[in-house]
Amino acid sequence: MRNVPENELFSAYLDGELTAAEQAEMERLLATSPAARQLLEELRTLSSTLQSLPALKLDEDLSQQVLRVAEQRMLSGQTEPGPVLPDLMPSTGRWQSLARRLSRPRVWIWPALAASAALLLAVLFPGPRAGIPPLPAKPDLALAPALPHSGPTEEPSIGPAAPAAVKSVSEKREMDAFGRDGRSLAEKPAFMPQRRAMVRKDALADSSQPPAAPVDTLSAPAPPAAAPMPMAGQAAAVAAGGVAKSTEANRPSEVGARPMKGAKAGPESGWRFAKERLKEGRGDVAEKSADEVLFVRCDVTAESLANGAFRQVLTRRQIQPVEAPADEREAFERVAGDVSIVEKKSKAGPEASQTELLAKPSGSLGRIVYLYARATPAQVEGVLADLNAQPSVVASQPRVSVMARSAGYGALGLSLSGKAGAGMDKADRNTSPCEEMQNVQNLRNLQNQPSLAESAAGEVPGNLMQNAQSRSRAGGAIGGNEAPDQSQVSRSRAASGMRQQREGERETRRRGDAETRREGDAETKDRQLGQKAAGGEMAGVGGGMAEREEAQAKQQVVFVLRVLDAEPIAAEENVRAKSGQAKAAAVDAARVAPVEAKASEPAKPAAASAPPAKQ
Amino acid sequence: MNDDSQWIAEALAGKSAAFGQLVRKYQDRLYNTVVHVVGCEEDARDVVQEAFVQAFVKLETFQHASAFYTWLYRIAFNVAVSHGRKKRPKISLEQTREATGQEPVDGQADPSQQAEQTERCRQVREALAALPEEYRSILTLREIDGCCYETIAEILDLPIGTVRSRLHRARLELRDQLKEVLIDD
Repeated sequence: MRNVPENELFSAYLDGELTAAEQAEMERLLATSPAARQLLEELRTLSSTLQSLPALKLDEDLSQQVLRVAEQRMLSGQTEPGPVLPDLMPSTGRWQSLARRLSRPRVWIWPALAASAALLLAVLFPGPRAGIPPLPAKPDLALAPALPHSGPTEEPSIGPAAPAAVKSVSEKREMDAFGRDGRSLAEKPAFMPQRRAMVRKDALADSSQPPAAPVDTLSAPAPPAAAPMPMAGQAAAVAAGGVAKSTEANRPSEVGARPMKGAKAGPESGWRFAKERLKEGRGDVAEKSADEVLFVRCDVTAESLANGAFRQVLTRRQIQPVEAPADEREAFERVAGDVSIVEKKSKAGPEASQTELLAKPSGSLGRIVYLYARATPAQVEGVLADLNAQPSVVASQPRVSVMARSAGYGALGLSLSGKAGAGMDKADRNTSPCEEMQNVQNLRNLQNQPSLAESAAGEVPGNLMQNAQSRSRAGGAIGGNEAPDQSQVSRSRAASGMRQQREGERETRRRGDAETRREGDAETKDRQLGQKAAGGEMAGVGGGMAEREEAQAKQQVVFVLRVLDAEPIAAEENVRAKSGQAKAAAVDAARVAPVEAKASEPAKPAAASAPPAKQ
Repeated sequence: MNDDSQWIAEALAGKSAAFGQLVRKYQDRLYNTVVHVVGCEEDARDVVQEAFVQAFVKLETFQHASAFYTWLYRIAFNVAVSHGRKKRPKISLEQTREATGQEPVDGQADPSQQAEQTERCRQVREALAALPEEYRSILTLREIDGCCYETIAEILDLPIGTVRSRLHRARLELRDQLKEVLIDD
C-alpha cells in the first residue's frame, strides 16, 4: 500500500466512493496508523470547511436575457459567441486612437488636432420616473412587448422583442422628456452652423410632426424598429432643428427607413451593405467609412442640461446634435445599457451606488440622455477639454470608448466599460475576458440588426427562419451527440411569427406616419428651403467636394449623459399627484407646445444665437 | 417525467418560457460553482449566461443520457475553457466581497465572530482560487456542489480513477495552503 499522504483512498473513503474491498482495506489502515487517522481528520475538516462556505447567488434572473441572446444567435446563425479575432480589429481607427488617448488621465491635456467637420443628432432620453413600473432586472432583458411585466411563468418573447421592450420604455422616456426641461430637440437649430446645415427632406418631414400624446408604452406592444440602418455618411443628413421626435406616431425609425437623396435605398444602404464590405475585406473599411462610434459618457446635472450649459459646450466646438435613425439609436442605447451593467460589476467603493443607477435606469433616480453628433477628433477633444474645465457642467470626468457602428467588428477587444484612465487598445486596456465577452455580445447585438433590415426590406420571415435553422444546424453539437433540429424549427418559428406580427404592426404605423407626414409637408418645405439656402447639405444632396470630404472625415459621437439630479422629475410627479389630471394635461400641453412651435420654424443660423467659438 | 424533462420537452416544442424555468432553477447553483472555478464573479455570471444560451441553442442535442444539470455543467466548463477563463482570477472573490460587503455571515453572531467568520471565508476562498484550475474545478464540483465522482467524471470528461486521484491531490494541496486555518479550528 502506498504511503499515507499519497493514498487516494483517503479521499474516496471520505466521500464514500470506495468499493467494499477498498473500504475494508482503509478501515484496517485507520485502525493501525495514527498518521492515517490524522490525515483523514484533516481532510474531513477541510471538506467541511469548504462545504460551509456561504453560497453565492446571482442577484438577477438571467432567464429573459438568456432567451433573448439565444434567439438572436439562432436568427443570426451563430451558435457560439465569436472569438475575438485580431484580424477583425481595426488597427488604425481614428476614434480608437483618440479614445486611447482621451481615456488616459495623463493625456487629458488637449493636444491640438487639425480637423474639419459636420455633425449628427441628439436624443433626449430621460430616465425613469416614479410611477413607472419597474423594468426587469436588466434594461435590455427581452420581454414580450405585450407582456412587459411578465412573471416567472409567463412566456418571454425572444429575439427582436428585446429591442422592442427597450424601445417601449425608451419612447416613454423620450415622450416624458418633451417639456421636462422646457426645451425640446426642436430647439436645436441654434446648434447648426449655417454653413453646414444638413438637409434631409424626409427627415424634415418627420421633424415637422408634433409629438403624440404620451402613451403608456409599457402596457402597449411596441414593435422594434426594422428600418435598415444607413451608413454613417448617409445617416448624418438630418437637420438638427427638425427633431421633434420620439413618439409612436412619429417614429424616427422611419427616418432611417427612407433613403436620402443620393443614397441607395434599402438594405444596400444599411447593415447588409456594411456586411458585404466586411466580406470583401475590411482593410479599407476603417479608412473609407465612419464605422466607429465614439462614446463619451459623463454625469451631468439636470440644471446644466436644462439651462443649456452642456449644449453651449458643444456649440462652442461647432458640434451639432442631430437625429439618428431609430434603429441605430436603439442599438447604441442597448449597448450602452450593457456597458453600464458591466461597469456596475467592475466598480466598487464610493462609485458603486452611482454605477448602480446606470445599470438600473428603472430606479428612482437619474435619467440617461443620449446626444448624437458627428464630429472630428479635434472637436471632441475640444469638448472634453471644455467639460473638464467646467465642473459645474459635468459631475464626472467624461469617459471615452469606441465601438463599431455598423458591421460589428470595430470594437472587438475594446473596453466599452473602461473607466476613466483605462487604456482602450488591446495592449493597455487590460480588458477582462468578461468584458471582452460582453463586448462581443454587444457587437453581436449590433450584428443582428441585418436581420431586422432584411425583414424590413421585404424578406419573408420564413426565410429568416430557414436561414436560422440551417445556420444553427451547421453549428455542431455540444458533447458530440448531434440530433435532428426540429426543436429549433419550432423555436425559430415562434420567433419568426412574433417578428412577422411586429412587422405588420410596424407597417401599419408607417402608413399612419406617411399620412401624417404628407400633412406636414407644406410647412416642412419652408424649412428645407431655408436650410438648403444655408448651403449645408450633406454629401449627395448638393454639397461641394470639400464639404463632402469634410463630412466623411467626421465620425459619429454619442454623448451618453447621466443626469444625476432627479428633482425635476420628482417635482413634476408631485405636481401630477397633487393637481390631478387637469394639471397633468397642462403639463403635457406645455411640453408639446414648444415642440410644435419649434418644429414649424425654419432652422435658425447657428450664429444667430450662439456663434461658434474659435477652435 | 420530471420537471426538467418536461420543461425541456416544452422548450423543444417552442415554449421558450419553459427553458426560462430551467434557467431560474439552476442559475444560482451553477453560478455558485462556476464562480469558484473562474474566480471572478463577473466572469462567472457571463459564463453562466453563456452556458444557458448554448444549452438553449443546442437543446435538441440533449439526449437525456445524463441529467440536464450535468449536461449544463459540462457546457459551462467548456465555455469557461473556450473563453480562456482558466486564468488566475484578476479580481479575487475576496476583493469583491470586501467591496460589496456581501459575504453572508451569521446574523446571530456577535461582531467579533462575524469578523472572524468573514476572515475565514476570505482565507478559504483565496486558497481555493490560488489552486491550479484542474484542482479548483474538481474540488468545487465535489465540495461546493456535492457532485459524485461519476458526475464529476462526466462533467470534466475524465475517467473515474483520475477523478479520485486528482481530487485527493487537490485536497492535499488545499490542506497545505490552509494548514494554519485548519489548525485554528
